[in-house]
Amino acid sequence: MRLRNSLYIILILTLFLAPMVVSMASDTWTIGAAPLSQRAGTTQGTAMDTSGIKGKDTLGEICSVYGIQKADLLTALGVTTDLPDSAKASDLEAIFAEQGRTWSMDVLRRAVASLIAH
Amino acid sequence: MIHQQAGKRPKAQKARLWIGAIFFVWATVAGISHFLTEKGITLPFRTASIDAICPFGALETLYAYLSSGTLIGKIHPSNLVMGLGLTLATLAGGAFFCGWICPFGTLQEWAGKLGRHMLGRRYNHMISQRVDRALQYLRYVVALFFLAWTWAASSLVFAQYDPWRAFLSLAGGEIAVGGIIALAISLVGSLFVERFWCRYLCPMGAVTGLVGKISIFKPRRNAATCISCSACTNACPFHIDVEHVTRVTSAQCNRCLECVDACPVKDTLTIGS
Repeated sequence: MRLRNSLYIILILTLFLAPMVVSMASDTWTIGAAPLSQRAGTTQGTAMDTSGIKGKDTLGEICSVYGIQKADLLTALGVTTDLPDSAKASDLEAIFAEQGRTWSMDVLRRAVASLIAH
Repeated sequence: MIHQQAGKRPKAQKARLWIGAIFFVWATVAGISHFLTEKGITLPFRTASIDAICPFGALETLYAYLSSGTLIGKIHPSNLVMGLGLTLATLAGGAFFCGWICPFGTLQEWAGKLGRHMLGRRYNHMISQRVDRALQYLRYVVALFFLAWTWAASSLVFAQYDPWRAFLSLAGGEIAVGGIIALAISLVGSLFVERFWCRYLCPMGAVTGLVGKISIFKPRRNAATCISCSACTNACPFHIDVEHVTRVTSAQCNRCLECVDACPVKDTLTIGS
């Protein structure tokens, strides 16, 4: 490979990778991801898009953003244990496991969507 | 001076295939790991969402970011960082990302190898050049359509039609019908036409191709030493007429360097400013 080609490849790869390396080194790569209120998407002021709900989101945040009651959400999920607002969505996995049910984030997303629809 | 050795793959092409494979593995592992984590499978390392490692996300969130300082759903700071890197690389070296880094481009090239094996010389020559040229404009329509839709809806609408996302979702993510159709069209198309998705449909390729037109480094032909053998034009996977230009400014050029490698005369076709 010609030296000129090699230099071109190295230069362009460096330009592409340098911001990524700096970002990863400074720990800003994905930290600061948009909060749920921004991931939710709104239609006429009402949060509608549930696909952005993640395991790290708390039940309090979810209920607040989508305008639903925590008790209704837990009922819709078939969860009888009362959980604090600070419980994360991913914490539901353990409860589902205790009940012998299969957990996935889509179960929660669908439950929230059905509550919004009503 | 003639320097090409017949039948030997040039080192630049070997490097391109290796670099493409490395980025393919990185993006695939990251995407699949994220799906597994979401399904509750604990891994020894944390990975970002598949949407977080796509530079096109920077363009998709651009309107929301500039107008309100917020990122649209599923977009992370990493998208903006990759968008910055992509912009710098493209302004300097054209659509290098498409030819050397994009994992979906690499996947299509692998499909193309199978197509070349099946079709021989007919591979990449099954569509007339007139139709091929006309179809190349489609990706600008796709880019405008999805950017306008994304900016208006402030959500990642392209995710439902993204063939790369659909490919990774086969490992366990949410299956989007639109994405699966785009994936099937792209891979089947790539059996007949080199990089079908990049060539006709990719919205990011449309943008990098246009920005690449004003890039600093481009393939350049020295007309004084050129022997007009057509090796460069014949080698170009996108049928760019390299032998009749002094600088390759086509938006389709992804800097694969196939033309530079094919030139039999030393220092006649080079990458230069």
